[in-house]
Amino acid sequence: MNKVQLEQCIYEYGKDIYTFCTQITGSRQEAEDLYQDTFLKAVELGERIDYNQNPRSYLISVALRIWKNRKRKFAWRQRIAGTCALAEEIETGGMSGEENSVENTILKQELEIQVKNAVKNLNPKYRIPVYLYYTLQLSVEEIAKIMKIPQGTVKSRLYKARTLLKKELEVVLDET
Amino acid sequence: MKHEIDHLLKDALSYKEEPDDRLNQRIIKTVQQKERAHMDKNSNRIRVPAAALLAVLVIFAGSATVYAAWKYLTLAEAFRGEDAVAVNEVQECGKYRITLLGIVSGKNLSQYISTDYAGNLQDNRTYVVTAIENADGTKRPDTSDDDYGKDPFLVSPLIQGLNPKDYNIITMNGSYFEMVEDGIQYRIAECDNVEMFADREVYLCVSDGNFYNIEAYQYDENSGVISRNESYQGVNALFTLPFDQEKADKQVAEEYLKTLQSELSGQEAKEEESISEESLCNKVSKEVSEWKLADFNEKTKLITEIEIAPNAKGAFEYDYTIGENGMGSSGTIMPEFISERDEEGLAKVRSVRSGDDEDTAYIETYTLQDNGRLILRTYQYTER
Repeated sequence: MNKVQLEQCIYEYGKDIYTFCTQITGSRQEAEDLYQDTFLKAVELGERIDYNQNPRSYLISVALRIWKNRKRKFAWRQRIAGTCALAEEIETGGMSGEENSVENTILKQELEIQVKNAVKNLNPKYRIPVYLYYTLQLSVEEIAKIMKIPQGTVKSRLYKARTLLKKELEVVLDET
Repeated sequence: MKHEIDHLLKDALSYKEEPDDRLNQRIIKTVQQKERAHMDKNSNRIRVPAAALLAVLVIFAGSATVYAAWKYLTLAEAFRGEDAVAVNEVQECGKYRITLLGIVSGKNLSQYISTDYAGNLQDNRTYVVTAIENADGTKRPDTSDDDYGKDPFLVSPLIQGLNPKDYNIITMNGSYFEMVEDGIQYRIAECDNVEMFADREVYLCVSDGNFYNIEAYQYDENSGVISRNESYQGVNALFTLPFDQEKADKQVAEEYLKTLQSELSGQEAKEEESISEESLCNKVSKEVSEWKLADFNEKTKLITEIEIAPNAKGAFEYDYTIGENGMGSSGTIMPEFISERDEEGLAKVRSVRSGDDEDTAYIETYTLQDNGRLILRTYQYTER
């Protein structure tokens, strides 16, 4: 990847990669580190990104691999403060620009916070496919390639994640 | 209900976070600095005395067109050393002529020493030099051309006994640098030192695409031998790297594999998801190996039954999913896999896999019928 390709990848996929980094790390500082290391690793690997071969998935798989390794190595390094700060920012920053009454807006905001928190508390094996599917809107096939698991397993993990979330959000779902 | 939760998740998770522009600039600047440092080292290397270069050129005598650009490559010094092995073997694959020029392994061979993402020095490396030419004599595009990289290659050492889809240059901390001179594309690929595996066959694959291509090569699980897939239409050159067997180091290799395996599997995540699942699967596997049809009917619930016709090679290909988002399975059953059968015609081999929760496992059974078709049944086992 040369400088032009790097800039192009950052321009085209930066948002997606960064969003994924914030979701899996839960900390702004760690997300920035992971985001930077993902691009540096991609450059270091020397692979020339082929635009016919889904560079977004490739970069996400690099990010996931670094994160898994890092999680193992630095599991002790919890950045509680960073996590809380990020959670707040994400929670309040995710609203769409619909024109609703103040009450509706607050209710919707509250609902989104509950959903996000429920997802955040899932085991990573369910949480990661949920982010890849719902936030980055990747196909089951792409998720399977990124996570290096069969498509059937991706489907069953999404199914299981939804089941767990339904249980967790039972009260909210009853109200809606 | 699914629609409801789907809707909620889409609403709540459809936000995008934007990286700070300063962060993006920092990445670009870091890459530029690394490139500059690399180029400085390259230009120093070009000033190697003519006599020294001559020695290098002699090593590669016999390949006049290919070695002409050798002097520009950064590892000339290392390749002049005693440990360097000149190979100079040519293979033609479709539209390309691929030459394995030489190989060198060891510590501190290059001024261009890379670091991994954590900043750890990677100084014990194997370097392999290859040249790729268009077989019809036309020139390969220069690195500044738009066409450069449109037909990407993966050049990677592979090791007998290690599945190449898991152990290749990408997983072995590899990288490469490349140049095009007189229409010939030269690549120096580097990765962790693989000389320690010299007591096995160590290969070098050159295939099309950016990643390891499972279609291009065959891996024999029993012998560990890697070979070209002769029916593959693309590029799938395969060389044997001529390492000195005395350089093998089983102990170091074992330690290296342990580290690599734990890195590859992301052990922590794997462990947390497999403890309970494995125990149920193991337990079920032991139990079902002796079961008859009546046992399955009594102790499990039949989930699906499909009949499969053999393909041209006599194998049975299948792909099914239970429910919209349920358990799925796909694969190919070779006739020899199900050759041992009990008196009811049920193959003695049964596949067991974990289910959606800790208490569930799925069991696949195979019954070959007189008409040559296979009945695949999937049973659900639930621990009470």
